[in-house]
Amino acid sequence: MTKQNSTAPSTSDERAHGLVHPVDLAVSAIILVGVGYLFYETTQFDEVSPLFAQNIQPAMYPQLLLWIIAGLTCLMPFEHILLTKKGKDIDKDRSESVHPLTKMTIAFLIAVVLASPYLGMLLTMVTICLVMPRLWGYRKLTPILLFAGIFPVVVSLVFSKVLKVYFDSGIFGIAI
Amino acid sequence: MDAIIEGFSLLLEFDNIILITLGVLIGVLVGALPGLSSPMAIALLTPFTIQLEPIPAIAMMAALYCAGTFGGSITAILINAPGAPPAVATALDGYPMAKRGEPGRALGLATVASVSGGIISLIVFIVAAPTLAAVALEFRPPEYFALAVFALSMLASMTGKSSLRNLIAGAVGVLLATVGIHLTTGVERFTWDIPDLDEGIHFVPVLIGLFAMGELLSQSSTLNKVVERIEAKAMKLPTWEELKELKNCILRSSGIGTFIGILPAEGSTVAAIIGYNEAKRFSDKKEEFGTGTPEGIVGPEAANNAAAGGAMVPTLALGIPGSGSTALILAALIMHGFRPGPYLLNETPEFLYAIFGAMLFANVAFLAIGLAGAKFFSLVTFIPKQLLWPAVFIFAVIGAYSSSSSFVDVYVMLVAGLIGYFMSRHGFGAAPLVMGLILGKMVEEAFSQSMIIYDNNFLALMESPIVLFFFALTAVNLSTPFWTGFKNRKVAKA
Repeated sequence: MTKQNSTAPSTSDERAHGLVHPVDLAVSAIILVGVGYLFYETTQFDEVSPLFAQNIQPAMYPQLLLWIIAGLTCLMPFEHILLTKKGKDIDKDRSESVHPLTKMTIAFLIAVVLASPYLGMLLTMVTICLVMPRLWGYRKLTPILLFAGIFPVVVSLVFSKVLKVYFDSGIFGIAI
Repeated sequence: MDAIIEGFSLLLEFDNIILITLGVLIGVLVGALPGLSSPMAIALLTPFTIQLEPIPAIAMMAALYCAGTFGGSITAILINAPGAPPAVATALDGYPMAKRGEPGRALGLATVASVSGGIISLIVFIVAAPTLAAVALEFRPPEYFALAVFALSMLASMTGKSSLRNLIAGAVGVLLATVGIHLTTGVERFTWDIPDLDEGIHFVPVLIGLFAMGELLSQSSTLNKVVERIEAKAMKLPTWEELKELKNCILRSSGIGTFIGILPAEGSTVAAIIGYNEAKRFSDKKEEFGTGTPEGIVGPEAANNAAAGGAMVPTLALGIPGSGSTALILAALIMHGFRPGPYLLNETPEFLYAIFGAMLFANVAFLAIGLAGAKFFSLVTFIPKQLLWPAVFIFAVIGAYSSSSSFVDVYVMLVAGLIGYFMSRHGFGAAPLVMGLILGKMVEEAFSQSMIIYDNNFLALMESPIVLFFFALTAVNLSTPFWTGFKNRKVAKA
């Protein structure tokens, strides 16, 4: 979203000169689209008789909140001016694009969570313990194997036997 | 008196002592591990405490909250990386002291200051909470509405990058609280015909997603960061002479911390920063700050632990969270079927004393834990992130799943985590959103009742001096970030 050329000066400095912060403008636009859609949704809420609703229709309060969110969001593209004066850098955490490892982690988390009803909770835990450390660059195989072998079993025992949490066994029927 | 005996006797039950001790151990451990924080641990713990009796469950969380604030100082001192945000100021002098060969002394100073700050704030808590609750009993819906609006406006001054984004996140949280069936009319709102949404957004998966998953994703980009670790062999308590010298600094910071903690939305981090600045301002050795001076350690540590006790005052007396962590404790109270606020304290005063006792126990316990386990807690910082965070993810998945044995909640947790991560990149905090979510129902209820009382005439609310007072505070609060920005601009021009 905010990919930056390595030879270019700090994007934060560049943006500070403008009146409108381009990234914040984009973020505001996304929020405003969401607000617009939700506002439309509120117009679809059932209406009840004024006597029953005591003049407070179900849509009134969410609509009020959406107006407030929209109003505050409209200020966002200009906020960097004030923040710069205060010495705060709003771009500090987003000046670089999302780290490749973070993208891979997101993909893994989505995959493992989607697979969890099929794997069952125990195999899901083993998969996490085996794959995530490797994904994050941990190369010592013995600690990983010990971690994947012991941790999920201990967690399963504590939660299923002591805390009586029901763990789904998945299509392979593996559970403790 | 009966309530005091009943409250403390509840804590003296063997199971409850174990639970509170466990809360303290988890708190110190979580606080000591960089990236893990008390709010995250409370969020992860919440689903598992649902099966417990309410008082031990909340007492365990309160103990974890206290201990987590202290635990953060261990890594701040030993690896210059605050285990939790409230310890950020402790690192400024704690790490230099440890680096020059006195890690045990730095830990000892931090522990004694934390215990002192914690106990002083608890004394204030036990006096102020019932008093405040008694005053709040007189509040009608308009006063409650104004108070809740004031609490939400405090998000503007909460720690974070941007006041505006904190307010937006808070308002989004309040909006999320409207999902589900409208209690007055029975009309479905934002449910999109999904039956799981009829009762509203489930707190647990959202809280776990925002606090644990968001941080997990942030950590994935900092794996190559190399930190220098100093091993502490034993904690060294300060001498009596040293304590006498530091007495005023500890008392001052404890007072500051307690006061800041009581303010809605302000938490231990703000308290610690102000505690450090005030310690420096009143010190005769200002030039030594940043080089490992004892005042630079006790100032922020007394303040951040005092804020933990202070934050419990509005949380229990008014049902208004004093910080991100107490917002989660409030969520747990709601899940246990309580309606936090003055009625809770007036109808079940033993509850207050049990929480007080648990926090007192936690403060004494982390002194003992610190003395006995300084070496162990300095070693936990050596656990590789690559093994630590998969374990956190597993707890997050189980926590979300176990709240209703449903994989849908695991999906909700993941989506909340992804949203939390991208929110954080763009300067929106998770804590304001959670505070909005927790306060949301109360705000709407108070607003609707007020509008009914005053026949939809908003201006008629101002007839109440209490409403006027809270609205005036709200106006001051909202204008402060702009006013300070303007002032800074003038100073810069000059």
